Amino acid sequence: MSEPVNKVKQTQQQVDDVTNTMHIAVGKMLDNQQKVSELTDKSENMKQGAQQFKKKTNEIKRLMWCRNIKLTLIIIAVVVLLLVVIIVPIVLKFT
Amino acid sequence: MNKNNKSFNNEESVSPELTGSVMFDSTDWIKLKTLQLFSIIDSFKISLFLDEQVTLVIDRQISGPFSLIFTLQQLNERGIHNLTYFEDLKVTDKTKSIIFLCRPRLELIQKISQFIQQQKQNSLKYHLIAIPNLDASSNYLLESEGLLDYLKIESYDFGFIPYDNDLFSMEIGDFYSRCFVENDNYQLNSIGKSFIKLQQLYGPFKTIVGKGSKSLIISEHIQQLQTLIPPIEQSKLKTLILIDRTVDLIPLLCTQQTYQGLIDEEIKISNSQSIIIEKDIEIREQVLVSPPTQEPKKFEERVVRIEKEKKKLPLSPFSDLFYQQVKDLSFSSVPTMLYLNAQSISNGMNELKKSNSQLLSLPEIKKLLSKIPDVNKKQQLLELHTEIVQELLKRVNSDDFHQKISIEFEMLFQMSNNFIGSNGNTASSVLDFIENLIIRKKPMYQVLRLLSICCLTVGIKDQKQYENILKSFIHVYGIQEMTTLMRLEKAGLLGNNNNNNNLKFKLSSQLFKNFNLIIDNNENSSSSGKENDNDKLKEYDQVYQGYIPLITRIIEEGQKNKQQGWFNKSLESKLNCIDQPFFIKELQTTSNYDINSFTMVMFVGGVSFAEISSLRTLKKKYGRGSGYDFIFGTTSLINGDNFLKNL
Repeated sequence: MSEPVNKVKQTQQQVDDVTNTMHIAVGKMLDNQQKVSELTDKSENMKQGAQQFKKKTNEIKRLMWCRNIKLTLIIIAVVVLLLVVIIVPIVLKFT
Repeated sequence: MNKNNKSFNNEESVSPELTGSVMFDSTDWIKLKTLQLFSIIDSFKISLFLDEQVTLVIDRQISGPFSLIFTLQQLNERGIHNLTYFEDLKVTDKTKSIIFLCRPRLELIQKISQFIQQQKQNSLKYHLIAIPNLDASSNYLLESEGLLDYLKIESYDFGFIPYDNDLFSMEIGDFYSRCFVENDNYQLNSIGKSFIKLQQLYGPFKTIVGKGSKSLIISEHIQQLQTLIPPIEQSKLKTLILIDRTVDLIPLLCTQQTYQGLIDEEIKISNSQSIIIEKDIEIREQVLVSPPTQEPKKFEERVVRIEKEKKKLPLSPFSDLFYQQVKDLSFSSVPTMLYLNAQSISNGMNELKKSNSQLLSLPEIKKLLSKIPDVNKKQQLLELHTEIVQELLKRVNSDDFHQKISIEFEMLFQMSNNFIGSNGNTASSVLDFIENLIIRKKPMYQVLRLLSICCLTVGIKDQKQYENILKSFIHVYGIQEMTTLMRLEKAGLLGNNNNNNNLKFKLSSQLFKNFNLIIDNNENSSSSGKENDNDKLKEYDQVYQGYIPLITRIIEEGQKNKQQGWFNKSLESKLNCIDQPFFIKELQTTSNYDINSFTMVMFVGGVSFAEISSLRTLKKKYGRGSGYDFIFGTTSLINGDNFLKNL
């Protein structure tokens, strides 16, 4: 009567030992998370580096737009100046 | 040797983004190609006994595509035990037969003939498999050497080689220079034959649409051979779009800005399988330093020397989930994706840790252990891509790179906003920048690419200015590069505005306006607030940062109208700006077509990765089943540098 109980207890204890061993091993394995946190930091730094890649294009668009606006303003100014040169003598003549 | 012929893993992996889509299955195509070559080898009647070994001699140029289709194990089953290159030709004692597998180039044919002359006393059997077939000059050379009796000749066509789930390439490296510059239409036959084989396997096309003279010739080939296709109940292919390279050369010469394109541009993807990174490794040694005073001796670390180490990284579009997600995005979005993936892996690790501390029994530990390899695999992939992105950021963050992109976009932007007199301003600023690059001896093909873009878009109106650029170019890079400039002029990439014959591929500004090739992002640029990370990922049209290739616009407009389709008259009138034939052909088929039928886009003359990415974004933009499920075919995968080199 007592022998089967002892065998069952022994087996149960062995299973518990194995469980603890696996528990500890898995815990150690998961401690490799440092690598992942390093990856996170690296990629966060790289975000800023890649921002420049994109900002450049928007700057070009603004630059080109300003240049075109400037050119348009110059043309308008020239035209207005010509009109003034033509109209002012006529107005002065009739006064 | 084994590294070059590593096994090809074609298992399609399912990613969350691609779960709902129907992937084009290229395994059938690989099986067909494998059976074709093995039937050729079987026709040599090679004995399969173990004491008779066969040596396969491969052209180094095609060893990459070869390894994508065949594996070493398959070759061993057929009795081929030795693999070697033409440079390492030698005979082992057990070799009874030799198979030469090469494209018929004259230097290789000469090597074959010399080898056979040397080994005449040995009673060896010789076989030649020519890809795609033996041409007249090689045949004449073999005949004059008297070797046709010794050599049994077969032809084998690689046809389309799958590089990705939706990408086939024929890898004809010199196609553009032969077909478009020298006007030799010989290689168009193999393209037509490859399409016939593709239709025999997957079903016939219903419509063939094309733009360009070479595409017209290919479509005529396909129409003639259409009777060879057996009737198939359900066809997977609906539309074939053939586009010549000469329709639009600009996106090829511009700097690619997608992740995959940048890797190909800066590091060079070889056969879409691996890349090689050169790293500077500091070798430190402890040096005994004895100062003049009689203090105790100290050890100091000093950098003694710097060595360069070549590191080979695997880069497989088939099994790399992260690469599949990221390769088509603009490079500015890739670090964000890296960060998000790193966070998700970190969260996964944390969850595993928590569940580990709560475990009670062995079955639960078993479940947990089965999850760990997946997380580890993801972590390795992420480390790989972090390394690649770091390497790319070094090159991308230099001033020259920024300035190059600025100049390119300035030229393109000028085409869609044609103000009075500002053409000259842009051209002069571009030429100043090119002059600056020449003086600082930047890589030659960078300068040539910028110069070609300038000639094809804004144009150089002043003859003296153009000649000054060429003079300084020859002065810096040497008189031997004169032939390069002459070839480029003959190809139509360089030239003055006055010579209308040379610049036949010059785009007009009317074309830019018709197709709206430059996106106006006034809304984005006017917002002063910070952009969210998610907003950047949604900008799928920004493959070239505001410029959409003409080919993408043509295909988008052609596929958009479901009923009219390519018979839209406004599209045809818009395409009249390009001085090349446009054709639409309906084929006689009995097959059924449904919403899952694919559209095949064939680029005759080559394509770059960024152009493929801009077409893939159409699928993401419009969704599946609306005519944007593309399969891409091309004569070769190129970028701007090797395009100019092959001219």
